[in-house]
Amino acid sequence: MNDLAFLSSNQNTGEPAGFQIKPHSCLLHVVILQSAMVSRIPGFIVVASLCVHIASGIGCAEQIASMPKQVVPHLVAFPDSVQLDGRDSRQQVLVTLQNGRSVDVTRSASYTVSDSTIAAVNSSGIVTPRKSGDTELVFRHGDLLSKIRIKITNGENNLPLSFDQDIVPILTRRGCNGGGCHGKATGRGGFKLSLFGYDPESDFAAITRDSAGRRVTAHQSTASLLLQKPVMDVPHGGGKRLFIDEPEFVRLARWIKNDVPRTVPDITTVPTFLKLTLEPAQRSLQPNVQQQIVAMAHFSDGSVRDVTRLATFKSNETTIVEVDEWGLVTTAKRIGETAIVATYSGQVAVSRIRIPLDRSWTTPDFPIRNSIDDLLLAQLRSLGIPPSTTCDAAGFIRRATQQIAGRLPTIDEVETFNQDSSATSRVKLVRRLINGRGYADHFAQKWSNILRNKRRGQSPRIPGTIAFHRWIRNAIAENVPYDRFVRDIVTATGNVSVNPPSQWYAEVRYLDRYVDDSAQLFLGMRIGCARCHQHPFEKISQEDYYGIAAFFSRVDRKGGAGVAERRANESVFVKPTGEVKHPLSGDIVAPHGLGQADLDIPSFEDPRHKFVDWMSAPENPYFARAFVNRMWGHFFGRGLVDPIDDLRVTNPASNEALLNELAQEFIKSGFDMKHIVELICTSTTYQLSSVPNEFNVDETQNFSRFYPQRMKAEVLLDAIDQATGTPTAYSGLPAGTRALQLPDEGYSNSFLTLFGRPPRESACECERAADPSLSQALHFMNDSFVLSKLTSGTSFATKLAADKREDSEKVSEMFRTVFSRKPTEDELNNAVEYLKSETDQKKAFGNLLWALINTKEFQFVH
Amino acid sequence: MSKSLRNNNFRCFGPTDRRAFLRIGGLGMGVLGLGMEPGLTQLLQAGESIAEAKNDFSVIMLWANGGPSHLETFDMKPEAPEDYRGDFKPIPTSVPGLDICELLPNLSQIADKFSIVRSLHHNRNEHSGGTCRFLSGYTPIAANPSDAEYPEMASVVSRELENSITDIPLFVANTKFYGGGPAYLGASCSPFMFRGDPNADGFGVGNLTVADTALKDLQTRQRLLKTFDTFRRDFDRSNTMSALDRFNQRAVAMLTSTRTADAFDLSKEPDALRDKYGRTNWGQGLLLARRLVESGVRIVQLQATFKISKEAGRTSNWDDHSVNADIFKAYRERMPVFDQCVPALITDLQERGLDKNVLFIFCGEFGRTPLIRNQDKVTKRPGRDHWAKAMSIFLAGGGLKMGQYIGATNAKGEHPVNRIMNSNCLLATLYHKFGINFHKHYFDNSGRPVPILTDGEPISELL
Repeated sequence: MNDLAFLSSNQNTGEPAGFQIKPHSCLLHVVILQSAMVSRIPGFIVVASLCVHIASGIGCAEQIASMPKQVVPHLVAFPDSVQLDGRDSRQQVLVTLQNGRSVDVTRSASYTVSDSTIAAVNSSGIVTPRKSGDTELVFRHGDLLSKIRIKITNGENNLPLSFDQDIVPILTRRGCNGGGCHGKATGRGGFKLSLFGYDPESDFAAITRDSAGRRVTAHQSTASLLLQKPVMDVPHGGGKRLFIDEPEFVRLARWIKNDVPRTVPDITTVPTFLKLTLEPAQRSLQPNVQQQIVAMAHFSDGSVRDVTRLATFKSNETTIVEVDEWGLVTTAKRIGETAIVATYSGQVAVSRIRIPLDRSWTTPDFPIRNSIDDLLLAQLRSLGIPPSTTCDAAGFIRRATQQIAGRLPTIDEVETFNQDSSATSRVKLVRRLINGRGYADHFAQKWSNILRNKRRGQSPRIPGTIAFHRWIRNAIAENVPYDRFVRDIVTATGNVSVNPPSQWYAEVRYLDRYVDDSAQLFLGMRIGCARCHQHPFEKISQEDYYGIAAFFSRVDRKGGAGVAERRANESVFVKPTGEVKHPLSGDIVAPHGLGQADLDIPSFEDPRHKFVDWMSAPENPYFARAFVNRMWGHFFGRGLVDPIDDLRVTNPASNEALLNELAQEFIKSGFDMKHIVELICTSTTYQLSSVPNEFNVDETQNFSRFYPQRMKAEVLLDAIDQATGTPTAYSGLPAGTRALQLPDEGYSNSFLTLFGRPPRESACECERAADPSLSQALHFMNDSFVLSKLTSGTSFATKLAADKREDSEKVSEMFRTVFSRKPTEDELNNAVEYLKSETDQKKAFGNLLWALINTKEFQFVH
Repeated sequence: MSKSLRNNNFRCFGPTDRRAFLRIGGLGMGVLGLGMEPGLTQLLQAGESIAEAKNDFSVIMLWANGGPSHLETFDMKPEAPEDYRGDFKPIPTSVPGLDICELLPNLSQIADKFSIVRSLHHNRNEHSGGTCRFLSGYTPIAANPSDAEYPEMASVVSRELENSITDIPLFVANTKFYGGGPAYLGASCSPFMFRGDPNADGFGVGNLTVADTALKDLQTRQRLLKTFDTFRRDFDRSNTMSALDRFNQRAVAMLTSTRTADAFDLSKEPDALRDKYGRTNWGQGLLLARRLVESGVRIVQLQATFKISKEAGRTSNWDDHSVNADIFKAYRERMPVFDQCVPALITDLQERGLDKNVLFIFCGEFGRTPLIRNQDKVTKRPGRDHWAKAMSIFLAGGGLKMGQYIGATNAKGEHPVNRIMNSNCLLATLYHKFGINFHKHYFDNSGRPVPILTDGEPISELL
């Protein structure tokens, strides 16, 4: 359910009608209705309804905008009652003013505790115990007043501490065990901790026993190095990390004084930490406001603790919102949506923050062609961003041909398409392209890159790389179901001459590469971190990592020639035995998918099939999402989840509903790759112009317009070849072979290298270096490879120079070839005037063509 | 709420947040995507400001690809058994206690102007892997990787200083090192490569100059481009378009200015000085390097290719296994050339006052096996194999403390016993001098934050 809704506001002040916010709090305007929170307050009637299906029909936004403001302003607190256990427990209370929006007034509210002998509260709304008992917290904001119960248990006693649950989180939060400090593989200053505390046992030893135990001194706890260093009583390379009046200092001192217990003596009473949640979990905010976030840890005994001070916070997009180390969010000027990520003790949680454009808008001309459009428009409505108009026919055929077929449309194709005024012309075009050769070439190359079809300078490998490339291309052209495509690769056995996908194992050679590559490729997950430590931003542990590794533990190879990565012609096979061990415990880890039960796989079965079974099951939360997100990224230049292969809880999609819908569609279609491409390319969303309107020029993640993308190296070179009429030759391949058709990375061409052709060293599409560089500019200006394309005897420019037609006709042909459009009158005049100014027409046409292929209009997909 | 630790000046640099990363990464780094940085990010940012790259330090590296022998150059072991110490004897230098190989008499006169580090070591005994290890600070996973898996030092410097590029490239090399490269920093951090032998007649820079006739065409095309390149840049919020424009302008500046062409024009040097460096590839290469750093190039890497005589062996590199060369004959041929050009460079830098900020380094990916071996079946000639446990680094200038020998290996030259240092300490020294915070990280292609260096501290004796 979508619980973010638009409420009307005074157009002039941006403030809700009917309620005047007091001057001292007017920085804080929030737009949200959070049903759960509101319903906690009995006695208040909430009139505003929630807008669930904003997308369908005429805008819900307009309906709401016309609604009278009927919310009685009131204060809501989180949590709805404070329960504290133990002397050093604490609770950050969050006070929200509900006045049609949800405004965080935590820092401006005033607080009192009814019985101040039982609990204390400070001006920030943090409640701490004084003694056991029940009382109330009263909070006021302006004329409004409300209260919640406080229940203190063990208010007089400090609860026993455990190293793992109470101390390690402090070390993590203060950065002690970070990768730049003591968490570094070699430690720092002779003191080494495990990265983010993944190995409490060794950390415990490092603190209590290493260096002759001088880091902790029980009889004089504050003289311990563990405390003196971070407060800088003694010099500390890491600087000041802790102040002596902070609760964490007190807790560390108490732990040392108690003789550094590893665990609480009576182990059965210690509840285990289950999950982390954030409050609010999502919220719609205005620009330039603040919102406190509270992190709550949930334990196996049902208890909940405020761990805001112990959690680490970060913003996924700091240009939209920033968050400080205490969980205080500040929004910027930009509209958009992003997530605040909190981590605590190996668990993660997100709070989604949305900053909508606070204005009403009318339904744009945005025909709903399929579910993509429905869900995209819903998102844009909730953000208040109107989409751009759709692009014209010439723009569409150029974009679609570049992105599907990896080439420019010919003059004839453009003209035929321009004349087709039927309603289905774009659908027909997309279908023609998907079933054409260019599609197979383009996507075969994409997969050849990330499947690392690599020669590595070894000529004995060439038959294999060619065979694998051909196999991929055939699979793409025949539209083999994606799950089968993946299965054939992951479970490949035998020699490449018999079974081409076994070439994948030529480059992907070690246990960790099997895991890293297949997770990144097929699950969209970068789990390499978990090989050595708990993933810092995902609930993935070493146990999970080695569970996947175990599927590959029986892979072996024989035959072939060469050294390691350079071997060619091996045969891959599956041994009857083989296992992996957890690097810390040394225990054998049974094969299992992420979050799945251990599998017992008989020795005559190939465990990799079980891995693919798990990945391709309809309920797998990653497999289909990863593929559709990859395709989305291909066409829009940015994934719904970005980067495209970094799907994790803490990196939510910019439009989760859309990503889920596409994934479901992919699963329902039987993993039909062409179906997804067609769905994307025939949507109105894909047809949006790159020209921004007044409101979406800064918009970079919700696809309210088409974001221009630089052509990829191979497509750019092919386009230059096409525009100049001078095909590039590649050694060992037949004339006319295009850059997009090269089977492996070994066909040397300095243009392709300079413009970022991936060396196929990893499974990441990010390997393609998209950055512009000085060398590229020099190459265009001064390299004979490019310049000869303008001046050679067969060049388009040379032919035009010799052509007897009028200059204006020739210029028009040049524009239609290069840009897929006619020149404007100004362009035509400028070009003709220039041609007349030159005596050497061959050079003149060459110069003109050089200028055109160097324009952004030519070099970008837009 | 609570006290903020933000304004503390931390020296333990942690990871940076995304924005800082973008600032570090420069242009169009969106592709690298979201960071996976652990917490306390903002808190650590304060430290970043220390890392403002300095604008006055350059490096000339003469790279003995294949691995130079420490026992035939700067770490002589006359007391070692015969099958270790080799043919050459040490000679004293102007610095008491510092002895070097007898093949280097000229150098021995100016030992106050250079320093030797004898106690670096690393763990990769194969050429390209060792090069990656030595120049990036990281051990590659692949065996014999032709390209580095982690960015080499000069690529990191290119990325960090890229905004200081004006009309001359930042990183110039004569060869791409086997096992070097920019790795995940991308092609824009590769060196500008010149072609040809600086000692050959008519040597000049290929792509970086235009003939006078072509200059007019270049300007015409730029004028036309300005006329027709009207696509609105603000449509592209990734700023790739404006970056392209910027590089385009720089390229035009570079091609139209005479600075680069002049820097490559060795005929502008007096014959006497050219003769002093020696009319050899190395001699003229080092002279070229001096001209380049004078013009603003920050790193010049020259691979010290040297074709030894048939009698000495069959190689053009420093890989003096028994199967490749008679190591002693090879050094007899190479060292006189070295002993001419390197003292000439050191003196020249000194006379021009460039020794304050231009550092000359001579090194290779590792040292060589102390025990002499004769595996070649036909010739049984003496050779030494790969040895990463010990190596000697020669440094001159750069504002570092000269006239020192730092660290020592054991009696047979097998491994350091005094001031034992990971070879990353050399990289840390260089980054320190460039003003680069080597604790900060880039994201590799799997999105993991990889610090520029995980270990190694600047060599304090040199600073």
